Amino acid sequence: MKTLNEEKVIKNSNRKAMIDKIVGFLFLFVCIISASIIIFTIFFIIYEGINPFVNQYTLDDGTIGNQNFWGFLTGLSYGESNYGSLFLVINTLYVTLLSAIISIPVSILTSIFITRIAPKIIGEVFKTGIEILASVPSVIYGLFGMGVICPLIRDLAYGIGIQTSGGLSVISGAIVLAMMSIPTITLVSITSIQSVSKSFIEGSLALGATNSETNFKVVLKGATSGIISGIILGIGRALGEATAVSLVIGNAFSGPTFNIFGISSTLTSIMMLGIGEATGLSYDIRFSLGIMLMLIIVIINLILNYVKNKITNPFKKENKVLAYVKDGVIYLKAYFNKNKNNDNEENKNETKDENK
Amino acid sequence: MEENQVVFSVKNLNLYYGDKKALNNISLDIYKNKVTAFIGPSGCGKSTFLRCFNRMNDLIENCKVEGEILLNGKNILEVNPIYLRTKVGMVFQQPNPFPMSIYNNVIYGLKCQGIKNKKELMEICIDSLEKSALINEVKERLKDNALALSGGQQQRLCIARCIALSPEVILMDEPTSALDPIATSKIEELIRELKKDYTIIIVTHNMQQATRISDYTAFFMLGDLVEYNKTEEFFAHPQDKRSDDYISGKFS
Amino acid sequence: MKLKMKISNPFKFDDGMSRKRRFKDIFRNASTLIFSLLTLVTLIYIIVYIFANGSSTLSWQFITSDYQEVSTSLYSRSDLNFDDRTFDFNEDGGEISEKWGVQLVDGENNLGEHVVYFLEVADNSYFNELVIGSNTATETYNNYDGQYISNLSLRVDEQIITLSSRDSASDIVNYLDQSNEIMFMEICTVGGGIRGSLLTTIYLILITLIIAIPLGVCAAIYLALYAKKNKFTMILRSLIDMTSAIPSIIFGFIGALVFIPFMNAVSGSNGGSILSGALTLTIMLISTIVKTTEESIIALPKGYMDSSLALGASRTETVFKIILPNALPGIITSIILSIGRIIGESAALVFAIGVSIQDNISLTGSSTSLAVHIWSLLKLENPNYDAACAISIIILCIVLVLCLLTKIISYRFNKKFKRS
Repeated sequence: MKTLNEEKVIKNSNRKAMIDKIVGFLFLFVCIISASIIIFTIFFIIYEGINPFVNQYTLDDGTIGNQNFWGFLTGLSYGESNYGSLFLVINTLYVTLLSAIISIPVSILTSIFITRIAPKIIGEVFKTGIEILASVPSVIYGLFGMGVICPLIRDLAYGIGIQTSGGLSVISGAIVLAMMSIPTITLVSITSIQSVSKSFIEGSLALGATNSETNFKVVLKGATSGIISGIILGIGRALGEATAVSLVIGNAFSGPTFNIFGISSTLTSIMMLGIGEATGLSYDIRFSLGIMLMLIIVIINLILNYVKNKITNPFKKENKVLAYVKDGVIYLKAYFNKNKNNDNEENKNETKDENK
Repeated sequence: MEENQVVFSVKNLNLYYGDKKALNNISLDIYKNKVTAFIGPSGCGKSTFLRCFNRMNDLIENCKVEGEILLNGKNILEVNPIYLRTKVGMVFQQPNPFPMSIYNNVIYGLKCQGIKNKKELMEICIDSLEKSALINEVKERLKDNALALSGGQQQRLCIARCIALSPEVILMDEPTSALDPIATSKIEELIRELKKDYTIIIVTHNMQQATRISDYTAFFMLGDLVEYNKTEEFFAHPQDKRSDDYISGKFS
Repeated sequence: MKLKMKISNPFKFDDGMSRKRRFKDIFRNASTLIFSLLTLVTLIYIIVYIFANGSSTLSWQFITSDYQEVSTSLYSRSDLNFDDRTFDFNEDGGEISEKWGVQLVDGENNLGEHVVYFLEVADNSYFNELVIGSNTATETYNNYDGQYISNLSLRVDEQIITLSSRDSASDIVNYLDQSNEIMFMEICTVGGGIRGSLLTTIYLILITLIIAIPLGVCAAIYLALYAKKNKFTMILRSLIDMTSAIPSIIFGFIGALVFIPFMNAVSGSNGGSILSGALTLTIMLISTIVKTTEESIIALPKGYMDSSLALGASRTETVFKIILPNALPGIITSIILSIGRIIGESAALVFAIGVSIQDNISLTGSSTSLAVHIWSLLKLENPNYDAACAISIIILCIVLVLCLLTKIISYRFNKKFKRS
């Protein structure tokens, strides 16, 4: 058997070691570029978003001026005299809250049905359906909202004696957003429910709990952290959504609107207004709204993550007193968290109580 | 011991993972055309020590090696590791042929060295498969996917692709722990066959296996080399109390 | 562990469960069923709505024709004389003007308005002797295929009759037969087609993938195989993770703020272009590509890197010969996901490309993608639902196919590596 040419191998190896180094640096370089996209994005949005308060613009009435910062923060109307953003922030939060009220229960129940109740084939069919829903583009949801949901809301409101402007309303926006976030939340919930340990489920069933009691009390509790992650993603999608919302919400220029049948506008829907025509201050102010949008997303993410930690590790703090109401009686429980085993036992007792 | 030619000579080797010392001042010689077995309880550093011989530890972060490992008188810590690994082959615990044809698996290392002559490659491929006692089983299906082979066949294929580079030393890291007894005995037979051409260092957690196939045995414990001797002598008259306890099964 | 719903005999109380508990049980199970059916019905409703409204508009002509209408003004020459010719028509239906030798038919344009099309113009028709520009010109016109009459002025008994596309074919033929002179006729190609937007979308997909896939795959390789477990890597990883949480409209702003001025400076274009759109989509998609590819590399058996290196291969060789070929399903999945997002993306492209629908596509000129096309149609004073639904059918079909492809690929990938 031939052996390799010694010198050639050594030469080869040295060359390869050099290529390795170069390629490694290339990969690192590309990775740094990919990671710096977000820094670059935030920098430019903030840089341009400050402009309306600093630069001088020629306004529509011919005078020169800029946007008052305080007016921007507290303004309740959006127009040439003052581009206020407070009402937009409130509207955005309100519409997102409404959509979450619709989407969270629907998603959780759907994911329980798919993973725990439906026979395997039906579950697969439902899951595939939801995957398709997740990949339907937002503009098609907007089209569906305009073509189906708005007329529906209009007729419904007319039925109870309320005039709407063709169905364009807060509730239409909330429904469309809910439809868009349901697939996201459901898919994440399915994964986290599937990863709940079988021994929990078997333990609960062995204690005489019915299947549905197990699903709602044990499985859901085990999957809580995953489900909240799904909710974070879903709400993120709802907050950042622009095209679909701008088509169904009615684009009001003042607010805030709390009437669910009234027209409203969100940060994103205002950003989509007058594209292709707007110039100067009315165009640049969008970037300031962009800063507000990113701030809201970050704050909501932080809050939800805090809630997630609170729920998944509720007894992290020592000497915590927990009060809860059951069958009309207020119970007080004190946890003196000296060591973990104690805590677990208490938990077990509690679960048993519930199952009785 | 004196009549044997020394291939590897380890002198005062220390190895650290971060601040933790994993190998403590180890010195030993590995002899040519012999099978040397490393035994010891799990976590004693025998696999880590094995991976020093072809510098696979370079890939692990925070891993620092001090001391000397001489291959034919040359310190391998100063040699280009890519070159070193063509001289010192390695077979892993899990049989892990690449998901490509059997033929391509065997010639993978050669192709990386830039050999393109098809006839030459085929020759070496057949030769390596012959040496690893696999040729009769795969002669007809060299172009088939290697993942279709059984576990034992996959492990022998891994040995074949190692031999194809005609290394001096073959390192084996518990090569039979993932295999059934029949496949294990085949591999052991193969190892006895291979030591005519190659020097073999094998890590095993199975003392019977060490007695069956090895000429020398090194016993490790907690990063120390406790005892190193000819296999018969090591098992018949262990010098150290710890070796004695281990052999008699007081701990494992 | 899956128990089937026991709704077979809900009123049997002698199995040790209280009535209240049993009803609670049924209620819980039924609620999950109802809500999941609701979700599925939504999907079906979306599909049915879109197909019901769009299928009549969707046609090959709709896909291949231009959005802009091109009109031509025609006049009958002042010295036109009628002789006794007869005309042969091959097509059936429509209204035939025996005097002029044309066959007209009622129809709709792509915007859903009523128009009168030329069904056939006979070879020896007087219409082939009409001239372009004015009644003294000499250049005749004879290409009436697929065009419709938008305006028509006829002289009938010294009276001038003005007709438009809103009049029915029979009316127009009626007047034509009475008239000896076409004082002015404007004919139009059918507009409202999506050829330009479709082409733009295809260009966007190609260019974005050409830029984004190599970048994303390289970054994924670094994170999966090269990166050390230290703080720096953690920061890189979480920065890339955070990128996917940014709403697409913000990336649209970056397109408008950075890439459009950049492309204007480089290529001399004016305003948004396909290239600025593709760059915007690239920064939007990289994080998804990195994540999907990294996951598929990590899912590979752990020994590949070690055993390849032990055979004297370099890291680079291992990456290109072993890792990438086997992680290909993951890379293809990320390509498919990216295509899906590019096709559906509207908010970012509204800013990064613009909303003007064009027919002549160039990489540096303005044009718009299908999703933005839908948005523009819905933003009209009278939203054009039919055309929007027709485009949605195309998008939805592509999305369905892509969804199916990812399922097949992930199924085969799992099957391949479960054995080893």
